[in-house]
Amino acid sequence: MSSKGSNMIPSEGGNLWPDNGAFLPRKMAKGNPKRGYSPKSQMEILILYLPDIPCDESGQRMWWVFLATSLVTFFGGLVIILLWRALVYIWTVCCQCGNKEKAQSIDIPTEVAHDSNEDGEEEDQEVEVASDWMTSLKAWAGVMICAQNSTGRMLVVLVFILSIGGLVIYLIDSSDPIESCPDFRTDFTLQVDMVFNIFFLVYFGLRFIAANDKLKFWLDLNSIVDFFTVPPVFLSMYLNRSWLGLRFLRALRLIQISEILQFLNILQTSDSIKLVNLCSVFLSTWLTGAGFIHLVENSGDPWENFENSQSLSYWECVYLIMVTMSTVGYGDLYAQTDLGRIFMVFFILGGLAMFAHYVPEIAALILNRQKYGGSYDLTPGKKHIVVCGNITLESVSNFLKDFLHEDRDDVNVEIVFLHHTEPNLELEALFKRHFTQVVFFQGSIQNPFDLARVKIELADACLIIANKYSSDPDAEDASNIMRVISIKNYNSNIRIITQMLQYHNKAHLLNIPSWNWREGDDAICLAELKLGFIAQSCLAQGLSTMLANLFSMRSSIQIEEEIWQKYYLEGVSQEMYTDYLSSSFVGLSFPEVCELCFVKLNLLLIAIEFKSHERNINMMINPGRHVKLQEKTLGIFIAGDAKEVKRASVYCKACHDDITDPKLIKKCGCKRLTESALSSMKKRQKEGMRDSINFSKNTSQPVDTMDDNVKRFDSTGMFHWCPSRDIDMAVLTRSEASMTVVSGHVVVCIFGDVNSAVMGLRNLVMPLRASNFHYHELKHIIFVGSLDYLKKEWDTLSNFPKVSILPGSPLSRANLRAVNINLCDMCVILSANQNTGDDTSMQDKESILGSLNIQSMRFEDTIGLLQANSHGFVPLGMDRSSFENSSVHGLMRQSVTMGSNILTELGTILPVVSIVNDGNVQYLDQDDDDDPDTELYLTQPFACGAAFAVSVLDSLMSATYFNDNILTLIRTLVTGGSTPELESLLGEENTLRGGYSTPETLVKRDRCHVTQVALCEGPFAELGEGGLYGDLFCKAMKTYNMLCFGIYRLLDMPRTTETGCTKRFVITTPPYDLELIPTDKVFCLMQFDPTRGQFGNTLSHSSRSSYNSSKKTSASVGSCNSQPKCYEPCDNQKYLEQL
Amino acid sequence: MAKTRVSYEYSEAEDKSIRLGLFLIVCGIVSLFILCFCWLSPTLQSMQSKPANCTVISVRRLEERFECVFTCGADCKGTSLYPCLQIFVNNSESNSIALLHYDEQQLVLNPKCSYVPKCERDNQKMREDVIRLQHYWSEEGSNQTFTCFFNPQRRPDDVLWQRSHDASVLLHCVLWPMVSLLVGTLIVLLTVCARSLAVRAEAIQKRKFS
Repeated sequence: MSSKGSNMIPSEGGNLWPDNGAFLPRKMAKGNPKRGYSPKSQMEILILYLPDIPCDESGQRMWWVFLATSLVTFFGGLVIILLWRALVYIWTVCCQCGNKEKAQSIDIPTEVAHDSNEDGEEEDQEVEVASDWMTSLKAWAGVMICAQNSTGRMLVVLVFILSIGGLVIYLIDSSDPIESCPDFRTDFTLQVDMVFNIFFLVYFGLRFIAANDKLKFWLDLNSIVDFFTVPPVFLSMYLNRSWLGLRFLRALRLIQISEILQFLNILQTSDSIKLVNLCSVFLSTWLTGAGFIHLVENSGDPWENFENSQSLSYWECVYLIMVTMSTVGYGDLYAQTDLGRIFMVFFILGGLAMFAHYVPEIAALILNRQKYGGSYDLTPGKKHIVVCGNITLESVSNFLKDFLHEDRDDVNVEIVFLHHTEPNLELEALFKRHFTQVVFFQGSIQNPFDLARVKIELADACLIIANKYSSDPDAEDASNIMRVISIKNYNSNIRIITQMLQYHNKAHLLNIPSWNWREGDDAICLAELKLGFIAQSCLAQGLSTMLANLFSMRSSIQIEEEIWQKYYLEGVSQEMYTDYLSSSFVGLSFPEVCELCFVKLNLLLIAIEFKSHERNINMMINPGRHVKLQEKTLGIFIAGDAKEVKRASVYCKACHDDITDPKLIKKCGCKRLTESALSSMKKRQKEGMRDSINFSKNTSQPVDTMDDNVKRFDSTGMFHWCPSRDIDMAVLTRSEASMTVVSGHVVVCIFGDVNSAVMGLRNLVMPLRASNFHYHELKHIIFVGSLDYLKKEWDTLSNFPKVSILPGSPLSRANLRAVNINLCDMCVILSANQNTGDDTSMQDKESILGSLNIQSMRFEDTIGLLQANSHGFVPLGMDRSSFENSSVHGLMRQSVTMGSNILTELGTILPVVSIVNDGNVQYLDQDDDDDPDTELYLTQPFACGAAFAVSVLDSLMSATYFNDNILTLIRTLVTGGSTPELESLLGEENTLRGGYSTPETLVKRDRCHVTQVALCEGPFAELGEGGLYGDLFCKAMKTYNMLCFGIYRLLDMPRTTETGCTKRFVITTPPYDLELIPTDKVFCLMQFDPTRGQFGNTLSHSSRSSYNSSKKTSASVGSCNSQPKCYEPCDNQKYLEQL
Repeated sequence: MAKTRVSYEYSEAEDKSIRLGLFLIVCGIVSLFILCFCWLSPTLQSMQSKPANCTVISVRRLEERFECVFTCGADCKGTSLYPCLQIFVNNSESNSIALLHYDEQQLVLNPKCSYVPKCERDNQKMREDVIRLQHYWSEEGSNQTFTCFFNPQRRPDDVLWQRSHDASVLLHCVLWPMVSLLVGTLIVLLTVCARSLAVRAEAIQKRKFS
């Protein structure tokens, strides 16, 4: 109110009445018709209202003149342009109609041209007259203003800078009254502004000449700004007064800033362009709005005689606009004029939308930029690895848990994650927890720039994690192969460890030129290993769990209670390590070293790296007596942590021979002495060793070269082979099936149809067809499942002997009975169906259903036993015969193990609160007592070997990084002898080729395989009653060259053999003083015995018949009555007896 | 002869100019309303007051002082006090005594006084102003008859020295919206016209060359 008053009162008071005093009489006279006085009073009163403008005697406001020039320029030009266009077209039309009218139509445009001269568009109008110099002028103007050359760029930048200068001048002038009469000669800002505007005018002319579409140019934002800012300035010089007016429109030029910066090549990334765009639009709208409010509030409404104005400074208006636009609206300042209020109404509509849209976006751009940008700074003395691929919370947490495990001795490695999307909050939190060792960068592995950011050329290795749960495994593999190619292309020396889902995709990796497995490049094929584990479990139950625990890092947990978990967890904490063997061992044979390590050092040496020639390095698992250790032999140990393994490298016979506590073994000073003492001996041993190898070759050769002309093995000699058969030959009917397979076979139930992804069944069959078995030992494999699916896989299977197919649903009990499932060694349930649905608990439905179906089957010949079993006193001797006791148990386990989806499922949920996971494990084994949130490796099915998840293979990544021997070892154990040579052959052609039995290939048969020996039945029976594991180990090693590395024990750990429990759990590398119980089974690595093949058939027949009899009569077989036995152990027993 | 195909779509610039024309038309209509409400109706109301003959009856100065706000340059304001002058006139229309004001605005600003001087920092100056005027009216202006404006409905107790608005307002109120409307229509028409002509010209040319 006060400000209103201040403007009103002076507008009237000062001049009105005193002046009135002078002419009041006149007015009165006017009122008096008789006098007929002059009407001049009206005008003089008008003056009284305009006291603000002191420059002119008339005191009149001239704002409308300024506004009019702008409007006339703009609209006049627009109308002229439109008219011009219309006339040109009319001329064209008329031209075509008749040539007569041509002369007239030419005149019309030229007339228009004269009219528009004042607007600086002369050139345009003369197109008709001189089009040739017109075009050259246009071209010249175009060159002048385009930003491609330096002149144009300078001009553009100059115009922008001057626009900003003009805006600054406006800001300076805005503190003056809206309309004032400065002296042009003395007013500095006016002069500067004039210079600027002359420049703008010139630039406007240039642009106009260069414009192709004049109409478009005329309506361009920059042109409009020019129309409303340039003419008033010239007018102000002419009238010698200035009107602040629409000069605020210069703020709109700020919108150009992003364009200018792009011209100058400063803005390049899309984010920065977007940010500058948003900011400039926001800022210019803001300043322009403030300028308008400033204008109308300071001048007032014309219809109120400008009396409702208020004096607001420009910055107050800026504040008012922001307060209004943000909908806060304090109300300390507000628009008082009607014009201002009308403007506000419309401005809020637009400004609010803009504010709501721009501000969050600008904030997001500013805040999110650089969060995971930048480049990796190499810490001196620290290695780093780059991890990429499927970066999710689960995969990363599994990986980190394993990689940064405390049992690893010295993890002096920084982990750099590179992923193209930002991590979610949970993942971010995980990175924060490990911030000392983990860095995340956002970027694509395919982008060399991003690779340079993470300094991949200096990285120790690059690890690629695959998405195990991908619904399209081939696509996932393809993307990972592309990643490998990208990295290898960037720098071929980087070591890459990648996960692959499908075995057949591995060949593509091998075909990359710079892929070099000798340099440490490794592909961990999940399907191959998974099926390999399953296959090995067919040979020795529980082996999958045992091996899985060996390569995953877990700390030991102490449990006081005498329950199975105590022993299980002790085993779980064991891992594989490698170290060089001390020179004290040089010259000793492997079994001796192994025993020494076990007894003295508490370490289990299971393999050595053997340099047979200068370059050839072979991994030898339990190589047997004939191998003598060399200097600097790398040993592979199973131990609790890396420190323990150090003992093997510092062990000195002289100093540590009498130490009983292995913890006291430290590095001793007498090393040199022993070394020199042994050096002479070493040479002799080496020679002896060679002899022994030759000898063993000689002995093995004659035995197995019976029919040299028949291809019995594949070209590498690693697998049994037969000529490829048609699938029809392998298909059986139900009756045929029941005749073909009687017992001791493997039933593989396949859920899958034509559309399912290929699982790669060859990886399941190959380990079962390894050449270190004799032909008669091979278990018959019978597939039950859709023929359509099996046809897809058959090509890879057709070269393996003893494989049959029973078409039909694996859920059909008739089918299962037809394959004598109650007599099989193992039942495997695999599901190839990839469920894309979100409900993870449904993914394993087929596997679970299948396994429950089989468990609940009843067989007539065992019905009595089952009843007895339910009462809890079934003799364990029935193990073989009663389906419930052994086969079903095994089967149940296997079904968990197998279901690719089940595994998937378990893996998915593992690290998270695992409701679904647990659900799925529990479905398999309905009477266990696991808590819902136990980790997979602690669950009972897993401990029993009844559950195997692909997620445990994650640990293999880090294990491989630290030691690529471990992968080789695992693969050798699991795949039954897959070698790089074999892989390259498979890369060449997707089938195995047959080969003749040559001495070279036959030698390759001489390798270990895993078996399970029942304690009660073998020669170790006397140790069963209270014996110690260590004694068993030594005895087995000494006598039979068997390397024991685990125990498969009944869950309730009965002291007697009389127990109803049938479930077993795995104890990995038990300590020396573990007490054995008679029901234990022992995992061991057994040497290949070439002699066995000759009489193996009769043996196996006899043993089989004895089993059959035992099944029927529940009578005792072998040395121990009513004690558990299984097929392989008894086989072994016979075998041992033969020895 | 193959049917010649011509694009009927407006280019970006034409689209813009059509929109500009439409905007001007809308602006014209809206401003017509706004001006009518903001400007015309108060004018018409003040036009209702009829001219009458007034004669000064008495002039007096109240001792009560009123505040006004003066400015002393940018961001410089203050209040000062001025004495209140009251001029009572007899108006011929209603034949009653009424208080004289300069115009509607002064009446609204201070209904009690006839005169609000230009606000000065110096109270004395304003006082002199008022006294001079009082002197004039009491000496010379008394008994003279002059034309004043009287609105019996709205302001039965006041008369005005002059009306603030007159018929020219009506012109402004109608002219500018109409101009805007016309220019907008012109632009739209010209653009549409040019386009359709262009289409036709193109068609002719195609026919010629085909």
